[in-house]
Amino acid sequence: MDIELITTLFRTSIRMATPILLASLGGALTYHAGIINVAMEGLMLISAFFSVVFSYLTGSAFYGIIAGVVASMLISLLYSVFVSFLKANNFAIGFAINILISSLTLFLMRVMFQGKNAFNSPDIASIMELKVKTGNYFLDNYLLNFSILTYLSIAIAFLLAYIIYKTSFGLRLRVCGEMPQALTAAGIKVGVIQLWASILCGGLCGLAGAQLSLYNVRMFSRDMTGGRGFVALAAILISGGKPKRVLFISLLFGLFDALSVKLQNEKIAPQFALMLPYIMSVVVLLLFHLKTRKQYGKA
Amino acid sequence: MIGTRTLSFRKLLLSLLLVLCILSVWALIIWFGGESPFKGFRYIIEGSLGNHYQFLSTLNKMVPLILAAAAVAVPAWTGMWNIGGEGQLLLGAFGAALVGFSIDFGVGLVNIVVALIVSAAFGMAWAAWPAFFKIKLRMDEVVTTLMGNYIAAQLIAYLINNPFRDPRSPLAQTPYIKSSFVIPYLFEGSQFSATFFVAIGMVLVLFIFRKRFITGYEFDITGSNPVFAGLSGIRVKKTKLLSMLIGGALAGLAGGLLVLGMTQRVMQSFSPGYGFTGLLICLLAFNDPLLIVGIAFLFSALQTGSVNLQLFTSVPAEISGVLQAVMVLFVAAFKTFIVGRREG
Amino acid sequence: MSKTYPNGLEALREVSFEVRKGEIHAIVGENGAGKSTLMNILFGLIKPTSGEILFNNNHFSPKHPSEAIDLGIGMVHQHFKLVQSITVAENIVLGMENRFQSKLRRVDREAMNESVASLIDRLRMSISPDDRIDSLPISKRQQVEILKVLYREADFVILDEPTAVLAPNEVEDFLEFVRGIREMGKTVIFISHRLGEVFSLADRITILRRGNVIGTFDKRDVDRESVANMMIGTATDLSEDPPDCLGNESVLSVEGISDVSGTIRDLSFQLREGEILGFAGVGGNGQEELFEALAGSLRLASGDIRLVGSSISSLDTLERRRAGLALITDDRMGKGLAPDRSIVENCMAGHHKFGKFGKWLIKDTDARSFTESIVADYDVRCGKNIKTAVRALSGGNMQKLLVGREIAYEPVVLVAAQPTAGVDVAARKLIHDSFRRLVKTGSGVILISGDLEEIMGLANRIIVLYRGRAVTEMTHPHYDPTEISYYMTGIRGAQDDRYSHS
Repeated sequence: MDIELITTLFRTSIRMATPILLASLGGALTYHAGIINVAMEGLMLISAFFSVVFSYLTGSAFYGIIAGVVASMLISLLYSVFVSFLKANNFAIGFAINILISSLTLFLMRVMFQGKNAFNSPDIASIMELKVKTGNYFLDNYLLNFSILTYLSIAIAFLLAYIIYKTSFGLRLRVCGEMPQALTAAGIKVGVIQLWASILCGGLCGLAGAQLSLYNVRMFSRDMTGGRGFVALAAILISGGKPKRVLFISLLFGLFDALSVKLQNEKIAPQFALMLPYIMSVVVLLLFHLKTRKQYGKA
Repeated sequence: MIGTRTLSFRKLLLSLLLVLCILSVWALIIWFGGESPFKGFRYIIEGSLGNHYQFLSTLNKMVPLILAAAAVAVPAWTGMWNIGGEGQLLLGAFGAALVGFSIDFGVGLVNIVVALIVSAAFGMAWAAWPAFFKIKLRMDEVVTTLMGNYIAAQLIAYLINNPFRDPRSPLAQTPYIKSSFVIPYLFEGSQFSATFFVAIGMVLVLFIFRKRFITGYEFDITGSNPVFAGLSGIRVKKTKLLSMLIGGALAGLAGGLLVLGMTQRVMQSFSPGYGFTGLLICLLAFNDPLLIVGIAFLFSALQTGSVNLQLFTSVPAEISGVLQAVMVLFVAAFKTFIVGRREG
Repeated sequence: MSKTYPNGLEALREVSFEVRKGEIHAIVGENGAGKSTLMNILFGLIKPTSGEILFNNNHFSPKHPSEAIDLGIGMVHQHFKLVQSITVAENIVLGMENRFQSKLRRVDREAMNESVASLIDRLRMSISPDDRIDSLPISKRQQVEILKVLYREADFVILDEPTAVLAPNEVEDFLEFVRGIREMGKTVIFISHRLGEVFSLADRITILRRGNVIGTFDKRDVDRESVANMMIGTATDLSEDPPDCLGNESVLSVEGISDVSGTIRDLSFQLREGEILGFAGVGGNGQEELFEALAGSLRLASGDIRLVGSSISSLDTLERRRAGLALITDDRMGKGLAPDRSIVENCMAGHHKFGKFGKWLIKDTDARSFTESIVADYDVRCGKNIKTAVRALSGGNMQKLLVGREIAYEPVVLVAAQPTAGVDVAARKLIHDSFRRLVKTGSGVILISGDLEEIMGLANRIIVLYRGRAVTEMTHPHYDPTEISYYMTGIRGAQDDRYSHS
């Protein structure tokens, strides 16, 4: 195979995997805390929007990212209050929030920029890349020159593995999802742990949204997250919330995304290419369930 | 819970407070959109209920909303989540269009009935696989039905771009359905067709099905206490599967009615998110068919009213979605206090 | 140290007893004698209606378990609250693990394990702090649960039926472990109804029966037979006699069934027409599994169940009901009723499969008259409103509704699990009478009950279950409650209970 082709495919995979990775790492936190987070889609979208807005207004991608993260955290806080303290159904609230944000971003875009379904401008500052030219083809293309958020996300994966499995907070987080009564019995409030998990999840989904709108495409368009919040959810369900497995599965889903991009330029109908990531997430989930069912059967 | 139905002063007060909260946040959003809230509300009300044309148009726009909401409600009766209404609706619409432009039975009514049955069957098929995976493998139906939406969207996009594209059209869309398939508008100058009565009829059927039919009763018991249902001899998995299939059929029917009664073809971005608006309606109506009609009317009025708002002011019509979702969140927040917490 | 609890509720009546510091104090009694209520009051989970507790001569009225924990009271429940996927040490230290935080907020595993290991060593136990809970056998898990309490420096440890989950050969280790706790100077309350263990372990014994304290005795002053008598009550009022309508044909035959988990083992019996067959036993000896095996919700490893001659082993619940089985579950709120639904809807459940209310459309009048006849026949008090949610009924009325609904099947065999648990005397009588009427029609009844008085007054034959096996069988009128209580508590008949002759 053509080396250029492999390189492009690899770089696109990494680029596409980054937001899925960040979101699923965030969702893994709430997953461990006992909440299947279906609001990640909305969290990414609100961040994608505010990242673009603030990047455009300030000319700085950094402020853009900060704005996106803050917006996403606020919404996540709202979600957590509903789910952990008002005991509302997490699916119902999650979808209400997703739909709210889908229309809210559209509404704000119209009010603020009179755009139709998308907003782009050369003034939107893009997220920096780790720009180093060593002259070595492999280093330059396979290790360097990715978005800084890509490096950050991989670091976060390892950091979360540390937090979840090595620290006191991580222990409580895992107990929170597995047996909240044990936590209550030890005098720790379940709701508070869930709240922290949700806020952190908001932050990570915020980064994911920023990567989408300030690096992957550098614009905001209607519902631009395109179900990635749920691809991330599938990744969490498959990985059992283990950060290193999340990393691997996100890369896999990133690869499907990259193949989708690549295939759009090929002879087959682009719709099938666009369909690919969604079909593959169902297929991977299906394979996972077939495998676990076999294990149950043996036990 | 004991006393849920008793109207206490406290509950009444909380309900009033809820309405007040929703209205003030709505006002705030309209104000943010650049219009004085009072004027904004006036434009919305005038635009949706102002004269009988607008009123009829509001009623007509209820059709997909009612059915999309019912598509969520029926599976919810047995404890299933159908988030795939959007995809099922698209498939249903395509099914109706396919029949409408390719076959003709000669009799208008037969044509329409066959097209609608096909649309329901297409929607049902799209709900079948997530339901099957759920009961066989316990695969989360929220993820699968949702992924189904994106897959369906691309599938339909392919079909209307390639094999079923209208050759005379510069855009990607199917040919028009034959005129004998069209459900005509009933009144000159206003968009109102018999599809409205079909939707209302379906709601009544569902209402009666739930309250009066043995199977509807089984749905209800399964959703209420699946262990008890199983011990009573109800086949829980079959019941859940069936509820999902009915849900899919209802969403498919919504698509079919849209094609036969309004668009007469399937084109790019056929649905502005009926499936998700339906989900919101169902959440607000607590899965009750009759309440769905009421909430669908309110949502439809908000949508047609918002178009009017956009016409006369700088506030974009997309505001309706924001207003609807905000309402759901407030009701969810207050529900805990008004009805009381209930586990499960 | 003395404690006094009178309780206005039926569960406990004017109960008083005292526990001495540093002793192992056993509390024995049948299911429903009030042991758990008593302990939950002590641990702050339930508030007593009246009465007081003196703890180290101070008034003590815990409103929340944390208050009890602060005073050094620890409770080990029958159902473990251990987190499966984390280690022994993590479970024990949970909530206090930030003591071991070192740099970078890392929990210092070694320091944590060491602190737990020192406790384990003092008790001379063989558990590694680094094992995951899900890799441990049940017996070890139990010890972890107790370590959790000891780690919090509890001086007063309540063990609620700790041996119920243990295999016979594990019991001696466990008893040794409890003795070790006493050697640490701690006070232990040991709840059990296995008298072999009680006598091997306890210093003093308090006997509870139906919410009353029969007495507290020094172990040296009583023997097992007398305790068993006091616990179960030989002075049973046998005013009720089993019905006399035994036929000859077998309606149900169970042949050597064992379940997959091995809880019931090689169980065989025959039920004749017109017979009430009682299954006596202390809770947790296979009763639930027997019910589920008959209902069709438990996978059998071996054996066959035949209803009037034809095998029903491979049928699902609906098909078994069609074949003539009716089922009264012991968990009315969780499995027997849909509490949020109306009385009508609850009465119809199951019967609707028999076309009683129409094949497709529910005939409302039929459903109503069916419900009303059950409500009237079984005296379900619901203020004449059969649209009331079942949740609003009292426990006794719920139970009558459930019994009425199942008997309305006119079943060939009725399986009734704990049919009168937690109901008042009048409801109990009514339920018993309905069973008598049923067998007169030639049906058979399987009566699984922890209430020996109920079984002796109702059953023509009694099988005693102990650790999932049928250990003895007696036929009316040759019932000897003392004998039965020996079998129930494992003094007799248990082939694998090492304490029966100690």
